Amino acid sequence: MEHGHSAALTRSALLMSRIRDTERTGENAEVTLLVQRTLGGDTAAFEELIVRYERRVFTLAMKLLGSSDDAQDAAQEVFLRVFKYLHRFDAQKPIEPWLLQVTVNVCRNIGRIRQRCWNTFPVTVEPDLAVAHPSRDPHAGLAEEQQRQMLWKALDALPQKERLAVILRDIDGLKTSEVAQLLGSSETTVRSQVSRARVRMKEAIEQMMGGRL
Amino acid sequence: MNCAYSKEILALYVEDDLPTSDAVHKVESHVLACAACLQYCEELRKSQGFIKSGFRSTYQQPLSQEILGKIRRVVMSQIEGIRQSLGWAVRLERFLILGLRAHRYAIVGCLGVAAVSASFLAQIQHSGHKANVGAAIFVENDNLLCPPNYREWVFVGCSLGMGHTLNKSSELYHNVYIDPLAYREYQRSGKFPDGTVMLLESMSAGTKFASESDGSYEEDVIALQASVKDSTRFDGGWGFYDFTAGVGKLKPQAEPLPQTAGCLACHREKAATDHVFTQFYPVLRVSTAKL
Repeated sequence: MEHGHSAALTRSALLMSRIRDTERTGENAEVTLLVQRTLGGDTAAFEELIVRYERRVFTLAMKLLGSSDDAQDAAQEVFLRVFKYLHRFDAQKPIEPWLLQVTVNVCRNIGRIRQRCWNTFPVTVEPDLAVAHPSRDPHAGLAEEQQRQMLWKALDALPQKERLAVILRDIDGLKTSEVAQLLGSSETTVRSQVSRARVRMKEAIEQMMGGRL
Repeated sequence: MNCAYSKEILALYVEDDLPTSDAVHKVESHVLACAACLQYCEELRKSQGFIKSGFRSTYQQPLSQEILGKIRRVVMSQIEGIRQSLGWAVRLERFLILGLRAHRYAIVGCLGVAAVSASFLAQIQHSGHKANVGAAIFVENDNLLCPPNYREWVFVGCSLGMGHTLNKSSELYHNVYIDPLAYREYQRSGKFPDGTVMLLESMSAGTKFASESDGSYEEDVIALQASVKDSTRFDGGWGFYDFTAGVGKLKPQAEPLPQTAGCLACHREKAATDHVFTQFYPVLRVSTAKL
């Protein structure tokens, strides 16, 4: 009886996996078509690509830069670069890692040019970033805001490479292997950067909270 | 924390980031036996939870359509300009990458590369391995092109009235130039490399007589001669050329002077350094003094 239940679970998992693979393949095929149409001069196809990935690109830029204005500039630059160098994208592979790599590079450049992003993260999120939630408890909002400010301050104190690695791994939720690929380094290096950052963040937060977490 | 165990390893352990299951078991067995590490792990879990919840509350809210729409509008308004302003390098890169992805273009591309390579190899063979090196530009029959900008080269010195085989007049100024690449190599090693070009510009001497500034000055170009070091072309390693086509006139190219002109023999016997009269040129004397 138990054996039958386990076999059913396995079959179900296999079926779900196949469905996910099919969906992914279908999405890749659609993206490939959009890329080909864009390269053929169809700007509407490129707009469709933007619609598909603008949230992902903007959100990552926001996490990396900490400012809505900078993230908007970064997202625009990412898509303009993607349009210019779309021929470099290998349509046999998924487009998202490539887009994220461009995003990380653009955010690094913006940081260097403005000399602020990695050293002086703004500690607040602009009100226009998120849709307003009038039903929220204002006290809860204040606590969240304080928490956010504390986190930005702790992140701000990290060395640049550790900050980038920990944002991608812990805040954006990418796998270690994906972070390594995006940053062009090894998984061992990423693990080392992330682990140091976690320890430093813990100590910084505890200090800000008077030793209690 | 009272235990000396690595905090960084614990920071990987609490997030399930250790690379192997062996590593996990090893850390786990220590943590279960060490109260300090167990507590540290708990604290780490709390701080990680605090960090993630803090950012989650920010980034899980729906994004403003206004911002996304603005990004899209700005991009779409600029892409036509980008398309039109693509540089030749990007266009060529695009052509090659996209072309080579298609098989028929790949075949055409390979044939093209093969044809260019074959042509290049044929040219090398035809020229008998006498490729141009340094500042000397040779054309057929070892003729040398007159360097148009030689006055921007390194000016190594000037002599007045010294006799020269081809310019017997003792009233001439002789300006001597060397190409910058050869000069730098000579400065570095004390040797003139293959491809060295030296130019001797002979100028007539004008005179001025005035109570406060009597003297002589350079007036017209009388002759321009070159010596070129190229051991693949010339017996003895150096070739000599004369670009003179009359007073104030130069030939665009010159044929090598025959050995009977005596240039090679004189330079070989009397010049201080490898057929070059470095003894008369202060800049070259200074260059090698420090070697």
